[in-house]
Amino acid sequence: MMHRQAISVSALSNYIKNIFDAESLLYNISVVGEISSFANSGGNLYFAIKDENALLNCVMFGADLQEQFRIGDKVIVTGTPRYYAKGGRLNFNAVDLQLYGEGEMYKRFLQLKSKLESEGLFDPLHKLAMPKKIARIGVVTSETGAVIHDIINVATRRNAAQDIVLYPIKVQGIGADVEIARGIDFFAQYDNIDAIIVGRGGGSEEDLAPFNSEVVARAVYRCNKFVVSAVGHETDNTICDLVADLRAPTPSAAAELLTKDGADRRQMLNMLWKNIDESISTSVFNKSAKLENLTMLLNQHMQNRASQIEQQKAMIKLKIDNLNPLQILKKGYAKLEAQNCALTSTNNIKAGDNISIYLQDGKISANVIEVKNGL
Amino acid sequence: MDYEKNIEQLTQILEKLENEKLTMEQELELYRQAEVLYKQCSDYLDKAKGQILIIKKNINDYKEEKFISKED
Repeated sequence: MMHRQAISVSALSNYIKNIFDAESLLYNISVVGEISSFANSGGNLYFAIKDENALLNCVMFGADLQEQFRIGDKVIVTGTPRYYAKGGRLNFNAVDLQLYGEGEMYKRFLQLKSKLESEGLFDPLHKLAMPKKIARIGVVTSETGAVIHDIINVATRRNAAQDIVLYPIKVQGIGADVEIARGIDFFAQYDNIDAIIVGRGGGSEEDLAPFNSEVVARAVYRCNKFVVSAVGHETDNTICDLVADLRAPTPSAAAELLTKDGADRRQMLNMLWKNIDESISTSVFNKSAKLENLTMLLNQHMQNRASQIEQQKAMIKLKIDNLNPLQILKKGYAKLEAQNCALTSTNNIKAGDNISIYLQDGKISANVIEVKNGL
Repeated sequence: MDYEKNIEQLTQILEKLENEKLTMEQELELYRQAEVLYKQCSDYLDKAKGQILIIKKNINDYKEEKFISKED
């Protein structure tokens, strides 16, 4: 019987390892199974998933997920199988672990929702009002996702005066929940941030899972600054939305809400100024019109008074003229005097008396020849 | 300069001018104040333009940097 040349354990193990490593089809695959064991050790998570006929040992480095999963949970694990020559063992190196199936996730969501609700995390009384003055807006989202770009687009289009400050995080997958919470806590303590937008674009229920986590809910709740939640599409309803002070239907809407439109502000300022200017002009106009009116009335009054006086003067002059004896003499009448007394009756004179006759331009001395009573 | 505060003051001045009986001197004084506030606001709007920044985290501290957008 022919034997092939014998090789060492190491050589075989390394050979097997290389086969696994070289197989690109095995790289970053997702596997569905039920959790059959679960242990945390040295900051790593060791677990196994199985179905009816097989079992897969898994490890997730740097993960602490014990509270989120239970034995018997149906899960979807994403990662790459690796052969460890030293232990003679195949491990599935997981980078993501999610509950599998909408029913299961939804059940968890409802459980957490009712727990947080009973603790008062959704209480409207705890919600903050939108601050009047917003100079800087903190955004907790992915550096490369749609959210930050939508927000920047809105801010740029509106020529907004506000600074947008991004705290970059990963919005999905393992550890995203903790990162989101850290971002919110960061801005809560960060100076000069007046409001916070936390969000991500649309995605599957698994993608949105970090925004349905307790750690994010509590971070939003304890945040002393105005938090706007903009997660997924309008139809998605996350726990983060429920705890936030305000829920925006989209990230763009959140940005519209918090940024002030430069053009709008300019228009409003100019309108205000125009009204003030008009108000002053109207007032000055009214006042000067009043003054003009007063002056006119005064002038009129003075004119009336003057013409009244003129009339009175003319009347008096007429009266005086009428009384002037010279005027009478001019008409051909004469004034008689006898013994320096005005002679007004035939009773006071007799024939032979001397009298003076005054005409308009001189005096005649005369002797009375005869006196006759009655005309 | 606090833009919102200035706007509030301008609004108050307008209300006074429209609703209160004022002397000419009082009106002119308010007008002068309004002129200053308006100018400040207008200059502010000319200059105001927000920045887009990103928090860069190091081990123990962080700093703000200009955000340069990266597509997915």
